[in-house]
Amino acid sequence: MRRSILSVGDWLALPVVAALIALCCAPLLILLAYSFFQVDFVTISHDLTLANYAKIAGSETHRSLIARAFGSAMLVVALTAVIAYPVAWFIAKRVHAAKSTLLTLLLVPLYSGDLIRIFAWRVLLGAEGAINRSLMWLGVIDEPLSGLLFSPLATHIALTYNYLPFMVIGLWLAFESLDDTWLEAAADLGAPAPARFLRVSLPLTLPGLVAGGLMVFVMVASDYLTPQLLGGASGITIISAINDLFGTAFDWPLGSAIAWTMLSILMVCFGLGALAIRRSSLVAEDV
Amino acid sequence: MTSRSSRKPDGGGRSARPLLEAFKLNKTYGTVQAVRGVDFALSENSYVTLLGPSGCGKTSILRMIGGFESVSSGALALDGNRLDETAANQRPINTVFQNYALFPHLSVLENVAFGLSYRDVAKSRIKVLAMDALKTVQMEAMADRRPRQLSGGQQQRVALARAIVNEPRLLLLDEPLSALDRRMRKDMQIELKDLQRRLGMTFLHVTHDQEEAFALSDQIIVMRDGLIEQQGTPEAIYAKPETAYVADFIGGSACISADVTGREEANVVLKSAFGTFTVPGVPTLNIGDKAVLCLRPEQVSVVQAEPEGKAILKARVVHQVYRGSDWLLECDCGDQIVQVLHRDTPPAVGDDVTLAFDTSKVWAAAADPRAGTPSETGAA
Amino acid sequence: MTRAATFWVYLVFGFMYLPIAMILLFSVNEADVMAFPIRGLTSAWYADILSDARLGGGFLTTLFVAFPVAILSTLFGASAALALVFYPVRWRGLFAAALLLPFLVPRLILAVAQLILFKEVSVDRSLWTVIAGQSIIILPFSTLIIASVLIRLDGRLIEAAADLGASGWSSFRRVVLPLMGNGLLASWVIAFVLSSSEYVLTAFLSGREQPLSVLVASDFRFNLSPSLNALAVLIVFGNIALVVLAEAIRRRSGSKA
Repeated sequence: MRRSILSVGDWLALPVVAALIALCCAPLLILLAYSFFQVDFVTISHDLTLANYAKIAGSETHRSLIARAFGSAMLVVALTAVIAYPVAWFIAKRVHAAKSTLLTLLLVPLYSGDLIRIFAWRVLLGAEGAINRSLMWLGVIDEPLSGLLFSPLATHIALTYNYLPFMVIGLWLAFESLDDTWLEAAADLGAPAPARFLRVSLPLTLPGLVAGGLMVFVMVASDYLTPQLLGGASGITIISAINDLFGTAFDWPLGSAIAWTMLSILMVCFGLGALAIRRSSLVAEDV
Repeated sequence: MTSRSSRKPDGGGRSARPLLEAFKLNKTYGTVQAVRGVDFALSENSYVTLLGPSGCGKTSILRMIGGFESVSSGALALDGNRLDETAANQRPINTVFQNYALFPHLSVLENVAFGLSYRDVAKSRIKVLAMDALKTVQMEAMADRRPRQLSGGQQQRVALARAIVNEPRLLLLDEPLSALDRRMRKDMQIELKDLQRRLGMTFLHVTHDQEEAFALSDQIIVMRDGLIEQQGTPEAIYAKPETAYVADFIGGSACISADVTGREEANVVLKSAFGTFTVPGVPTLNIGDKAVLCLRPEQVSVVQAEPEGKAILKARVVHQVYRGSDWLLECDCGDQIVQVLHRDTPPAVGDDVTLAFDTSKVWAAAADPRAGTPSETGAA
Repeated sequence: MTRAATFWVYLVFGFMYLPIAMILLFSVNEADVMAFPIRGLTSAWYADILSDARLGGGFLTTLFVAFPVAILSTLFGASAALALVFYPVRWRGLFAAALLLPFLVPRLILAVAQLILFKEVSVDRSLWTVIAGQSIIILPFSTLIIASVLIRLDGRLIEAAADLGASGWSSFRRVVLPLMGNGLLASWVIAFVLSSSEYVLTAFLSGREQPLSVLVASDFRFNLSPSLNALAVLIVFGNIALVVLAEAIRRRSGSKA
């Protein structure tokens, strides 16, 4: 039999790696290169410069947009975490036969696509929308609440809705590997229910919270459609700024530089999160 | 079941009130009855084991006492006070869990201090008390380690320290030694017994290992199919089993089926396929009852000549096991295997032998199955 | 506590299905304005959608894209999952991280980056660039689905097959492949659904021929009408049917394993 240097696994991975390099790594590296170029009227000059990054660092608008993207992301992470904790616990610990049905039901709305979900929220939240009309019909309000749609509120409701399932999945996995006897031991030692959550469940499901939180964080920070279509005047995001720079504004180098600034921050967040999961799962390893 | 609240858990007028009492305790999971109306009492400063095969309901009883399972019907009382309606975290009872359930994210010391933070203990005292408890189990050197850095035996000790530091009225131990290897198990048995004596606490220990139960206990409760088969001292359980099941489960008696044909003071007359024997037996056996003659391996010997005053069985050796200090022979008396301990060179497999036993040393127990017990379950 | 949690779970699932219920309701509402109270039942909006030639063309384009995307991402996902679960691969951690990359990079950033790349190598935007781009962003999902099926198989199966004299290839063909079949099918269906509902990348990479999701997006922006409810309902229920099918397939493989 012929011995090859590459194992079966390597041969399997090879085409996948090639595809990833061609369609993911290479484009991002070209984008990185562009971030050091500059626009000269309508052509792009290939002289390397850090001007784009200097422009981002010096621009109040860009800095605040980046800060707002991450602020929104943190807010939605917190919201989804609070909503998802009881759900994840319930699916992991109180449901047996219906477990995968519930999980599927939770994921199904995800598959309808970004646009349809956004459209549905417009129908719900609009001035003539279901919520306003229902409230008026019931006599709770006299005229439509105008702040419902095209506001940060609408954006964050829809973002929470969009990414809640990811948080539930992360926490659900963590609860599945949380041994009930730890909670029994805490009760046995006198801890009342809130303390059992704070001192046992929370630290031991932390890897799931971080994993789910990371997914939600990254996806909220990269979502520009939801704010654009539901946020009204508040809908300008750092990602939609990139979109504009590649479209109407035609400043690809600056767009690339903003993109790479975002990517770098996301990578750092992701690295820190992965580290946190690694450390806490080292603790919970031997169950 | 309706009389649940009306029953007063007062020890039935005994002078010394027991520490823990169970009254017609029931546990059902769906349609499965795990515990079927058992009564028992544990006294202060004693080491009690709940002994039985897996699925006999012993763990359910422990979990009901700990407060991790609700009581389906019946009642529990601790120091005369109703216990089963108290939440687990309010009970002055602590548990050593089967897998120890040490909190993996806390250090050994933090684990031990966990329970103290919910008791009326000054913050400054918590660390001192926790260290004391660790010293009691010789684990003070490991105070800063994480549980996963400890061996099974060490985790066991920490779990013990974490429970006893709260000075519970009752300590529950759920198969605490099952995860340890044989050698470690023997050492821990001695330490557990020693610890119970020093602390003067009542330990309730669940196990399926009868050797462990004998090594540790002041009292043994033998369970089977959700019912208590017999409760007593290890000596009583071993020497005077009440039922064929206990005789077989404890020490592997051969149980020869027989009918009770007479009573002579403490003795009963048994008529079996192998002859009629007059032997001591369970006092409740009456003429006409089905009974078994219990023969333990050490009570039977292989004889050359028929000795005076002993009962005789004819048998054939079918199997022999060398056990170091002796041989265990399996002899077929015809539809009945009798095990015999033999010290010298044994007869060969296939040899015909004569077995003898002293009728005053053996015991008559009630035959299985017990009649009428399930119907008692629902009775108030 | 359980009762409170049960109530909460009902509430959350209600929240998840409220928007879908709403578009379903308005898709059969007679009135032109999407508002309460409901006027009367009609199927006119569905008739509108089904007779719209532009949307019909978009639907065919979507199918033209989704079929190859589902096949490609399933094929690559299967290779990746096998390398991650069964066959040892060099730099496994790095490989796993690389597989996550298309999921983690913001969709729009990846889209513009690919756009630049295609421009640099002088490839015009077409459905082929859409297929390539979509395949790579769906790859992490396919890998996850197939790996979740593989992980439930016992790794010793391969050893057992080898022990019984099967060569590497025949142990794969006779043991692993039949057992992962359902995973492949589930991955194909999910990839199909994800491809058909993908918008951002599709909008950037598509040229003259536009799939349904891009057409729908421009309608959403400029031409909000009740017939869009009907269209959304058709898309949602088509997707739900496929996802439930995939889940049923995946679970059947779970119970067998």
